[in-house]
Amino acid sequence: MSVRALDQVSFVVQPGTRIAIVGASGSGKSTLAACLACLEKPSSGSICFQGRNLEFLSESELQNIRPQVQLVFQDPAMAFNPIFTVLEILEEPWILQTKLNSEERKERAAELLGRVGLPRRILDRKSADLSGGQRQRLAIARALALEPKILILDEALSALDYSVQAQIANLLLDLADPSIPLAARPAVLFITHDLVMAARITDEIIVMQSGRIVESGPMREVMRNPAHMATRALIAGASGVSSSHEKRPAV
Amino acid sequence: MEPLLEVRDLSVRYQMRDGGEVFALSETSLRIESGEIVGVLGESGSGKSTLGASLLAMFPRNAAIHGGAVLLQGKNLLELKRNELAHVRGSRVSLIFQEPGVALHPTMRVGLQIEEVLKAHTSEDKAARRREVRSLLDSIFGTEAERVYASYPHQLSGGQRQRIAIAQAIVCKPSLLIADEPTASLDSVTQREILELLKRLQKERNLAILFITHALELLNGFADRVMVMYAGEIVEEGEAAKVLRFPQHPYTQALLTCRPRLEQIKNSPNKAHIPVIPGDAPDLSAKFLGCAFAPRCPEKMQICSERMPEFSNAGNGAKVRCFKFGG
Repeated sequence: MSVRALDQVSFVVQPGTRIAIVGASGSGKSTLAACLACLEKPSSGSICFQGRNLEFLSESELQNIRPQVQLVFQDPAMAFNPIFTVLEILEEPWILQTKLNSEERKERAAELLGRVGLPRRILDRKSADLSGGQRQRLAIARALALEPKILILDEALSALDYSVQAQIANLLLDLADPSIPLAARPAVLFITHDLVMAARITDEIIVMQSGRIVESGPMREVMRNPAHMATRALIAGASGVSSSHEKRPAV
Repeated sequence: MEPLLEVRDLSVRYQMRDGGEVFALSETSLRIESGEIVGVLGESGSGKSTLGASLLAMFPRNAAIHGGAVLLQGKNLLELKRNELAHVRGSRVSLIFQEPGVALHPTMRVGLQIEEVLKAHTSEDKAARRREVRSLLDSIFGTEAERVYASYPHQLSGGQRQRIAIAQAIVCKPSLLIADEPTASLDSVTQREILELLKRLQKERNLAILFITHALELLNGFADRVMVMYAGEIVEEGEAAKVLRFPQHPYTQALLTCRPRLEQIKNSPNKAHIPVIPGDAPDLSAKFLGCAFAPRCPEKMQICSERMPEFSNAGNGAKVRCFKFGG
């Protein structure tokens, strides 16, 4: 038995844009994130990065592309090797891909920590000794280390306290600031069921249900005039209103 | 009138492996009346989960109680023996967590699992247990009840599993249900449905619920009263509508402004920074001399670092531990 996780999904990500992909559980949004980050292969259809179809690229060409699409997950505890220090986690890709010496790597790591609001002194700490919010910032720092063109956050804020979510949301707002030159500004795909945070920090929205895109457009437009029932249910859920007047099977 | 449950000056510390201590709860007191929904709002480290666990006298091995009592209809649960507690847990006071999977056996059909709870606490025969569980599932799942009854946990969605955990928790008709972040792993639409179910159960069964969460918007229109916790203490408590709309304690005010609201966003999209609570989370390794929030408080006064304020009445009818209101 097969499950159609994604069904005829089509959309375009322009450089430097901020897009929210929202939907209830099972809507397919995490499968979509995995496909975009080259972690899963679509059964049909194409994913083109800078005009090149990923399916027709060789492994070595894909190795060049993967670093440009970075994914941050919900559970940062699983994302890091627990015996590595913060410095070791950040410098790993630079050891493999650059000729920087250890002093230079340390400086760059400290700079990167500064970008995500973490203090330099944690370079020597093990990731297991950091709080959830710190680990998530570290995951974003690691993602930024490779200067990606696309940063995908898959429920990356959902497990955090609201005050910590606010800090990281501000970091994401800064990353995508229009005053930064386009070449240095990653596109941000914010995948979540938390419509409120999505609406606050992104400009466009894609609403998914049962593997399909059911609505999309500029965030403000869609929030004010939602056309699809799934969008209205998400808005109702976020506004503190029950959606029981919309006929839905109980889950 | 005697409250259903009363916590008096409860203090709990955790012993850490490095020899240090975490002051999880400091002389916390609260009352829960029959049939009321009390929201406990707090962030990580606030002590909210320790408080929830203490109402069932469920403490991890490295926890030590440093005073206080938990009185269920006048009887101190902290003084009960293990077998006496076993009679209370699941039948008079129940608990549901964030991950219903933890409460459900993976290789046993869920209907049977609920029957097991009845078996443990009642002398009903098998047929009676089955009838009771099927009736309960009918009321919770409607037309899906039969299919759900025969399912294994992995065959159910997250929301369905949480409903089963709730069924399991209420089948023996407890007077109090402790819900510790029960909707945190569910999407926002399913969250609302679970809250509706809990509200319905409150009305139908006069069930008191202690709803522990960091998601303040869930408590609006759901909880009767709200208590806000910070660093192991309750800092504000009162009618839910008042605390959530007109918070008085500087921490509650700061916390509420960190969370964007959809109405605000719809009306004026704003890409400026979201307000944050300045400073670091409190260090719980030692007892605070003054108010734990003082280092981060925009309205801090000299006296705030000297001693902890007592509860005073605030303008909105709530009680607040803050020197702004006396203390």
